[in-house]
Amino acid sequence: MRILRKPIFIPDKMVEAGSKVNGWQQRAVTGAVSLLCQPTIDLLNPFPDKETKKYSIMKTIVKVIVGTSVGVCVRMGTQKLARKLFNKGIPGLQHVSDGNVQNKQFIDNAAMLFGVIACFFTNFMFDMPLTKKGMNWCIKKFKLNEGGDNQKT
Amino acid sequence: MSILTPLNKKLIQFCKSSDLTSFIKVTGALGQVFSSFAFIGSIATNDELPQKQKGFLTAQEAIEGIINVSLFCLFTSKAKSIAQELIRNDKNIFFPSSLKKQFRRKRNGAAISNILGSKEMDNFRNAFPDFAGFAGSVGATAIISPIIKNITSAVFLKVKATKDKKEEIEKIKINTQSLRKKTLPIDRYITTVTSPKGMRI
Repeated sequence: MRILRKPIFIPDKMVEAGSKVNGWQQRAVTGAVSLLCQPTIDLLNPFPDKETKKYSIMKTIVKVIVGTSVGVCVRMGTQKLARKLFNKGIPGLQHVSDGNVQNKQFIDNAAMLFGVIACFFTNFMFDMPLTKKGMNWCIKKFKLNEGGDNQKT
Repeated sequence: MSILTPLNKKLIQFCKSSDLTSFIKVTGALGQVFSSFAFIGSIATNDELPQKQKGFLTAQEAIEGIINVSLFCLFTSKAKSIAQELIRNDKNIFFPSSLKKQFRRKRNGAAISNILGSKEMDNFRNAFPDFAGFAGSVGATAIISPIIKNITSAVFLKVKATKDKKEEIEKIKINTQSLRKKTLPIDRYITTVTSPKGMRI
């Protein structure tokens, strides 16, 4: 057995928690990391001009906040829904289910699947109008339209 | 027997899968496809955005959607399989931080086998592949994808700049051509106007 001179240590609790994440937890962590990193990555982007960069950062922040909040709420809702459904049992599902089916893993997986189906609708019902409103609010609040040679469409 | 029974069976089989990483991969990728469409829609239908930035942001969003989905799928499964390989081949690189103290002590063969055979190490080995898959998916979506998106959207900027330059040159050409147009001499002008086949107002 070979051991490196300098092994890499990872906190046990972090590994334990990370291996058991469900849908909304995964979305929340991704959103938090995105909110920390993505605006900085956009700010350091050397290719667009200053004006475009401003819009790009604004879009990223609005998108991450809206996407994460809606995504987390939807996934939390579907998690609860799956727990309720499978604790009671659904007609047509019981005859193929065995004793191990109604466990945490099954409920988590079903909730994730329901979450994706729900997201198909909520993306267009909530994410799209909220992102649009958020971007317009930011444009007005930070007066992004006033600088440079910007022309409205 | 209901018409939905085969569908129910499939659904149950899918949800019974204990492979969390592949589940996150499938559901996460689908979710990202939908959200990309929604975000492209929110930019494309936004009249407050200036035309110049609108084009760039739409392209950026579309590129991000494609990269996000492909990277998400690739990283989630790759991170997990790499983690599994590391554990399977006894390549001990990662350790739980609870074993840090034991590492500081003198390292001989027996001590190392004690560490590797400990309960903490077993738990760590079991949880590590799923954690790696999760960390891979977060890293791919939140860090690597935006970096690649910014690099690739630079291509869009270059193409747009070349197109704008060409249009500008065309405009200048048209303007200078109209300036250079030869005017008719007065005698030819009169004959053209007065002839039956000439100018008609």
